[in-house]
Amino acid sequence: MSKTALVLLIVGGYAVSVSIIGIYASRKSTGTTSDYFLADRKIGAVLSFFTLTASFYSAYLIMGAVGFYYTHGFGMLMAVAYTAPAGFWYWVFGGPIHLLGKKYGHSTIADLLQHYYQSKTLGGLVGLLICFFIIPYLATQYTAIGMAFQMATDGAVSYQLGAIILGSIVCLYVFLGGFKSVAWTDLMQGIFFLVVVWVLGFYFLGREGGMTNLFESLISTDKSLITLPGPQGYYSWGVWFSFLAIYTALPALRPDTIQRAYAAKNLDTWRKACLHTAWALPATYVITMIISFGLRLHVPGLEGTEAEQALIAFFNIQNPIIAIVILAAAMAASMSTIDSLLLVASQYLTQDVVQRFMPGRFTDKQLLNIGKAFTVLLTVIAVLTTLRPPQFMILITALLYGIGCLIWPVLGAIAWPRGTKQGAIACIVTSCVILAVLSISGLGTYVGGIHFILWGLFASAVVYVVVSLLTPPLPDDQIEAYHGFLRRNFWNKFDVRNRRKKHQEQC
Amino acid sequence: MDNKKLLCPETPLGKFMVLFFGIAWWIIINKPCLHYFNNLVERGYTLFVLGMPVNFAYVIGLSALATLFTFVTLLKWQVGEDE
Repeated sequence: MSKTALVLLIVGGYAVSVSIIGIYASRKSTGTTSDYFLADRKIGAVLSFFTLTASFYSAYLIMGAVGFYYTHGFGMLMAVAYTAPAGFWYWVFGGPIHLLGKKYGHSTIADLLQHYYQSKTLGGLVGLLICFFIIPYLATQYTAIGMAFQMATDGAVSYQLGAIILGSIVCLYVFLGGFKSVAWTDLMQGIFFLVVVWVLGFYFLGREGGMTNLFESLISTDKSLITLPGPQGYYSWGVWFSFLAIYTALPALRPDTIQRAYAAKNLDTWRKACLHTAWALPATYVITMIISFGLRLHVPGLEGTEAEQALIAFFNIQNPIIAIVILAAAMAASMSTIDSLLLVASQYLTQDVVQRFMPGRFTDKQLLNIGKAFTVLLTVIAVLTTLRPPQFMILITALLYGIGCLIWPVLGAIAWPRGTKQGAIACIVTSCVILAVLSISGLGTYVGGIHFILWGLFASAVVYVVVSLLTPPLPDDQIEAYHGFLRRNFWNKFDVRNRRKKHQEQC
Repeated sequence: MDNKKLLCPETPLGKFMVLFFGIAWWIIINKPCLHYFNNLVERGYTLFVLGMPVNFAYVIGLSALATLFTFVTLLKWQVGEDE
């Protein structure tokens, strides 16, 4: 059997299995938007963990991260550093957001901010901002998945056709089952690609005869791989700090992460999911490091995209079947991100644009159909974009974390009662203006050695605090409804035994 | 309610965790501290810890510490039925 036929067989089998999951999930559906977008807020701990992890990792884990470790060495270890505290931040942001979502019926960040700050303008602004950034990001993911398919078939299937085939499969199961389909396929995809990565890690560790031998061999080939800024001088301290700052806390506010916090069955479920991401995410990046350094020793001299495909290149020689399995794992990782983004983009367009700007015009059933229509429409747009990706696409992709400026208004809603509506609007507008100006100014990605997104983040923090302090605070009952509730049900629930003991001593 | 105060866990352990993840983490994983180990290795002093150069062990060790602190924080958080 030819390699292309084998790949098509795997993809065909995969399409059938995810379609079965989609059909099964749709039969369990209650036919409401809450069920379609949030699985009726009944997702258990295991599904929460896998869907959180699988949507976090895209094909980047198996290709991009491998290429970065391979090319730049030590610098890429920042991925371990920024994922280690992720579980903490997922909990600190996601926990209160989950509780407030259940109490007030929020489904998105825009709902939360609109309700807390009592501002429809703010809700609409946030909804549009997230749609603006997430849709182009979704389109680039389709291009990546098409490329993986093209590579798997040695070019027999073009990347455009690959994007159409795999995009249609994702669209089918998201359309049929919404969040339930996404969560169950994420479980399947997550187990698959994590097992592949971990097995490969132990394979390379065994092959090199342990960690010490691996590093000694690496040092003998190129010593600059084990220090910053790396062989090509890429990882300056500014780059290291920028990536750490952007990727440490901000993933907690990614719309797909927040969707999972809302979908969790209860706070304990969300806690368990956060607890396991705390070890799974950094440990997997350590495994990727071992794989990449092993590859650097066995297939040296690769650069750019070749380095990203080092794993495939190595196993194409050693065992082509394993190379296909690795590509299938890359596709699974990519699809698990795409399905999450597709559903979340559809949710924001339906609930934060259509429902918000035309309140009361549609029934819940009609909104569900609109959401499903958006799922198809977004797939068509994303696939069409992959045919001729515009030049600005890469820039907009980098701006995904521009939505990080929402961290300040969200922090206001869950932990800083003095924040105001005016502060929140000014903060978002400032960040957008700074990002737009720096993007078109031609100053490059790093302005003054720091990533331009961080400048937007710093400035928006200052503006949020200053404008909030200069404007009247929110009404006391509104503050009590949020912060009083969270103080009783979240913040004061930490270390309860010690609190009780201290209280008894004081008495 | 003092509306200028940032809400966070009120016990010493809670405050320590918030300070660790909010401030200390950024200092110890960044230039001032990591720079020291990076320089050591760059100058040829390739001390191996846990089978890897000391700067790798430093970052991975700190990451393990952050994971451990996350476990402590989350396990000490009492969660019951949502209101």
